[in-house]
Amino acid sequence: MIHAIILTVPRKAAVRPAAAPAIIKQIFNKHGVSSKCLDINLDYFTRFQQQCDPVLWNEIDEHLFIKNKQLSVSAQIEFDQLIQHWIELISAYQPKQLLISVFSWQAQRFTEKFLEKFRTQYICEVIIGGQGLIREENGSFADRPTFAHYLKQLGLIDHWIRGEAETTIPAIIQGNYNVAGIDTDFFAERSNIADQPVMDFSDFNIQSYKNGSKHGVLPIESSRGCIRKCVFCDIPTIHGGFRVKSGSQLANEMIHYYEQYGVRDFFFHDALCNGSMKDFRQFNRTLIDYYESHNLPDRHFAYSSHAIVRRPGAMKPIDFEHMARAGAETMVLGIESGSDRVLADMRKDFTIADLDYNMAQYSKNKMQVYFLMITGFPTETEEDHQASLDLLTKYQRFVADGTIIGVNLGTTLTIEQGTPMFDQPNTLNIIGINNQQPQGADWMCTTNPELTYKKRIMRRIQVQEHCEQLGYTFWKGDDQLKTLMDKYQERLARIQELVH
Amino acid sequence: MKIQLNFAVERRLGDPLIKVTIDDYMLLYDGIAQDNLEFDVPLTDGNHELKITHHGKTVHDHVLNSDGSIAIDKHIEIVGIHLDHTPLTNELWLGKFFPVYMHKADNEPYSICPNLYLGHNGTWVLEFATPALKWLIDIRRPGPQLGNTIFKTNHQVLQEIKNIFENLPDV
Repeated sequence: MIHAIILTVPRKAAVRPAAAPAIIKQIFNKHGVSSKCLDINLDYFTRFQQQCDPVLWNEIDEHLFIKNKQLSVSAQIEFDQLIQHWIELISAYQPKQLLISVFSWQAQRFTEKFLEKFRTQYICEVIIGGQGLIREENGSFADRPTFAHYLKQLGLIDHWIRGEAETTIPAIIQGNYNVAGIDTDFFAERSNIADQPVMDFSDFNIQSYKNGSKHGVLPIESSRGCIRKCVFCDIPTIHGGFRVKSGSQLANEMIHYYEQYGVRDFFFHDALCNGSMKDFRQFNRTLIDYYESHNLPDRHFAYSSHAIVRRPGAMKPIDFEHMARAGAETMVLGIESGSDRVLADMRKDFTIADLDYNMAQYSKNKMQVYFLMITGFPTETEEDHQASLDLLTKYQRFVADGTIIGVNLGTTLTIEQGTPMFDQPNTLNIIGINNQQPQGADWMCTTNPELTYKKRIMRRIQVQEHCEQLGYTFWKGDDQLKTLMDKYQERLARIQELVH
Repeated sequence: MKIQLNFAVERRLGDPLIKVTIDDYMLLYDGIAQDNLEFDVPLTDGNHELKITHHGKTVHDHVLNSDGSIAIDKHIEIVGIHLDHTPLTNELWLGKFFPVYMHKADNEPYSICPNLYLGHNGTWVLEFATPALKWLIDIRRPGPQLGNTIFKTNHQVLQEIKNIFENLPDV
């Protein structure tokens, strides 16, 4: 018998184990409570996908993330079988608690359908947590965890955890549910990241994830929060002030995973790895020293992460060189736009000249980058949009030399709770539709009124087309376009209802 | 299109001579081999051939050791080619060298590939296409292949959704 089962559920990319279950397991370990991590998401994208008819699997997959997509009878049977398979597997452990990590809104439909059946067949305490407790699709923050409330009302869960596990799971273990973050709309007390225990991945078959790495990939965390305050981003609101592990602590944690599991590839799941240059330098230096003292080559480890674009004075050529030697592989950069004016409105705190410098350094040191871009920012004019297209043309050479490995455009700019744009829309002359608070895609900019929702989507399509012509590897295009289609049709239906 | 050529040139027995052409009709350079050459060439989009011809070498343009091995050999070696500022890497090894032997060739190969050492007289030919960056991207296929993954992007989906949106009202 196992006291607690910790579940990862579809839908998220099955490229590595999730961090949250491994953090929770380590907390259980610390308190002498048995637990086991199980990954349904991995099973969904491997065993289930392989054995399922491809047409039915696609139908099920779209059902998980497209709101209006319903299942045919045959697909429903397959989907039910997947759920039943897992209910039986979990029940066999006779757990007292089931903790589900709802990674994002894309995990909500599975969670709900799974619990509908699970609750009728097995009795135990069900607790959910994660960023998917809210309904917002492009943000991580909302005043109220509406999905959690919804499941609670349906009687599908007993509790939810809002925020960090480090300050809530120990209370749950003690039987104390009366702490911030447990069944509350407000967040759990924030932990000291430096006290965070090393994660326990012993339940995961690390090499079975689909990432092309021979030794497997593990998530790792260097910081919480962010040093920047981009107007469209809710990270500072969710995670609070920037907190960072010391460079040597982080490097030693990585070395621990290597020595424990043989893993050499890591992905930072925090907002940025280069928020504190002092610690980032120490981190890279510690890894280089480890390689040298153990007679290992440079880049013995490979790490990938989100990173911010730094000015030349803040991140010097030697920093890029050390980064590469330590094993920096792919940096995810929120470059957003090719227009300095739009970048300034976004408060990105860098210019295209800074980006040019960063790109030259990444290319020179043979590191890869992955671009996150936003089309349809409220102040984006046709000229700004053209600047983004021109930037992509200019950087085509970095695609050819292998530096840029992807572009992700998202689903155009949406305004989410917890962001400066939501709290102070007046600063960018943004108003809502029908005198509502501007939110999601329902907004307009009074100084740029021609930027309608359709215009934003058409610009986004144009950027994708441009990338395709230039040979960029474009990520998640199908998912995002289908989501946009779904949302626009929903909007049309809403308007038609109003008319009638 | 910008083309940069970088050579290692053996000059101890005198300067080698080279000729650089594109598609046979466009002469870019004819003269003493330089370490670096740069051209800005107006090319139409499509397939092309870059040709580097080593010529003027005579039977006296090498020195042998007492054991018959070559001590000094007048030659040029291609050490780098950049197309539109992007270095060719593996693509360099696709170039074929068609030597012109100074005797009747019996068993010698008609062409040598991979080869970047132009010791014999003869022509090294690289097939490429313009726009050069797109050509490089297409043959390199850099980055992860996302075809059957959750991250995939499909041209057909893009076109279908674009067509639908073009006809939807602006609301």
